[in-house]
Amino acid sequence: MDLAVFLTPMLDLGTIFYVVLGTLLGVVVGAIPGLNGAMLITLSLPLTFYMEPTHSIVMLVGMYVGAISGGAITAILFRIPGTPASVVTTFDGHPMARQGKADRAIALCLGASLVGGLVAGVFLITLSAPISDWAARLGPFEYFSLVMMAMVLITSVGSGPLWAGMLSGALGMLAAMPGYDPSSGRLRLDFDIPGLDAGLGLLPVLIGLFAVSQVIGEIVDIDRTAKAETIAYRRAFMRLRDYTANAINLLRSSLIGTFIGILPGIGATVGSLVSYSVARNTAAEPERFGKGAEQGVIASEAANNATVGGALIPLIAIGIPGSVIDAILLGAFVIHGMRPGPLLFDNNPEIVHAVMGSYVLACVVMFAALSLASGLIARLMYLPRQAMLPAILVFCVVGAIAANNQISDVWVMFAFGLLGYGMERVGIPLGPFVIGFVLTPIAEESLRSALMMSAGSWAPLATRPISAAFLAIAALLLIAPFVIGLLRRMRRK
Amino acid sequence: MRKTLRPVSSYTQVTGVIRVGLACCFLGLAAVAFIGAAALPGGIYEPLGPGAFPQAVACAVALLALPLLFLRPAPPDTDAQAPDSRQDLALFSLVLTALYVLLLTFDLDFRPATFAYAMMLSLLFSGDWRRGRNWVIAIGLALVLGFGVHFLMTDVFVVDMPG
Repeated sequence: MDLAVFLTPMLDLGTIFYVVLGTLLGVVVGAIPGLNGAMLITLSLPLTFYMEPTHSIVMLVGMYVGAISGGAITAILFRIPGTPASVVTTFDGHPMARQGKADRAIALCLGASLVGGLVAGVFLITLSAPISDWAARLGPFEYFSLVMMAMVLITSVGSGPLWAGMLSGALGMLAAMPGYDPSSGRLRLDFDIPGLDAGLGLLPVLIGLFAVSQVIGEIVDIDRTAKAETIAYRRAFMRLRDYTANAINLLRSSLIGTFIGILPGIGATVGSLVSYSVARNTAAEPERFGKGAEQGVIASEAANNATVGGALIPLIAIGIPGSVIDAILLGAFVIHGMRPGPLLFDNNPEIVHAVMGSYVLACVVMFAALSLASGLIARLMYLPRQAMLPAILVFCVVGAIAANNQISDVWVMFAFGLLGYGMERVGIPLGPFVIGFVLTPIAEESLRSALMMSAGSWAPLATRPISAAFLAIAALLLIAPFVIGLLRRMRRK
Repeated sequence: MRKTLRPVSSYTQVTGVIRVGLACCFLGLAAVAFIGAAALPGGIYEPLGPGAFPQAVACAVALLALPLLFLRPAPPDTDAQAPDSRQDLALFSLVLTALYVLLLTFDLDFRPATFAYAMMLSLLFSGDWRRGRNWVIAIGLALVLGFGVHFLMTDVFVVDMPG
């Protein structure tokens, strides 16, 4: 594709203005726990009725990119994932912040976000149509195998013994069970409790597990003040040697994120979880992950930003939304009289090019805006506990209410806060819980749809090449840490 | 040589109680989920049905929770076992939070409930509630969180708050 073609819509000052506005709004809303890109885009949709289609779509794309990156700020500083996609960033970003390296963590997060976004942008521009075409051919067997591959990674995320990680993953899976059965639509395990029929909400569960549990821990340790390191502003930028030293991790995580983003329904959370786990399994010192490893922050952030670009590919090329936000964006296209898909390339090429250009521009705007403000943002970490802890607790409550506008979600958040604190205190990692919780509905729905197609036969799991390849990768991922450990021991001898 | 036993801190004792309590909770949850899933009908168009996944997961939880009764996963942060741990403060804050959420559940207006809750927590965490400066911080914070956040949510983001 001619580069100038997609740059042309970006020469319009109005388009640039709306991309910048959308990105900045996305960053701010993403950084407020409980508010997320989906909510912002939904609330902004009515405003776009009166705007030019190009302006409205590029603003919404900017919001999408900004919200994903904004969510990482609170994830690092307060261990509150501003968006579910930022949850993996808390694993190492927050320990870094506690070690007095909040600005460094934010700098890595921004640099990785930019690279992830740009790599996905290249794919979005050049390979949009062929990749979407290929992804559309994946059937439920392939999806189930893909999810199993990610589930295998449960064993490697988090510290502690293997059985503790597996217990955490199984608990996450159990928490995903109540509500409507994804395949038959039958209500199950709701025990006539109001609010359980729709299942447990992702955001209340995540806020409880990661934010409330953290606040409880902070209160227990309140007499020990945080290390108040003076923040060196120059460290708010990722240096060139950081990029070169982490080039493989950056590229690999961006590619994983882009690929997972392309697959409908998997989402940014899974993208960052998978790339984090791969980074951990291939790291020279995997034991440092979860305790403030820089590679962990880079892997998570490069991947979750790349999923945004990846998810836009099937949306504009074949009209299949890759995530909740993409589904809302699809609605925005329809509101403005356009139908994403192959015809969009013929009927409204300017929109296609504007989406591509605005995505790349939004990544750059996000990077510039947050880089300039990160030194200031990192100082929030050292606010007095008497102001910080009540504020976080109130924002957790507000976030839980705002997610679905129901007070029962606050009780869910509270219960999962206690559970998260208890689990961490006895040494059960929280990461695998999230993987189990997010992936189980996808796994169950895919497998049961697949079995319906094959009249109950399990054989296609192994006979279909892509499915078999995913399962083989899963097996490799499972044995890789053992083999690497064995090789290291042999080398030492 | 006489072996001296290290005294077990209250922190470690409470951690042990939490560990056994969690294991029992997990086993109970697994049992409830298994029984609930067993009552579901089988699949019509595929062999699994709506109960198969929950039953398999419940079995996995029960199996993996058993070691938790007897084994102690490595504590993630040994630093937290310092003698100055404020478990009493955490417990009091949790009771206060539960009370606050309960008030919101009964549709008490978000603003006064949050104002009172944030002010009490702030004074609690300040370490010395008799100092005038701490009262100023607590009231300022409570105003921002109670009334400012309410305005932000209802007027800017059009999200209904309780009350």
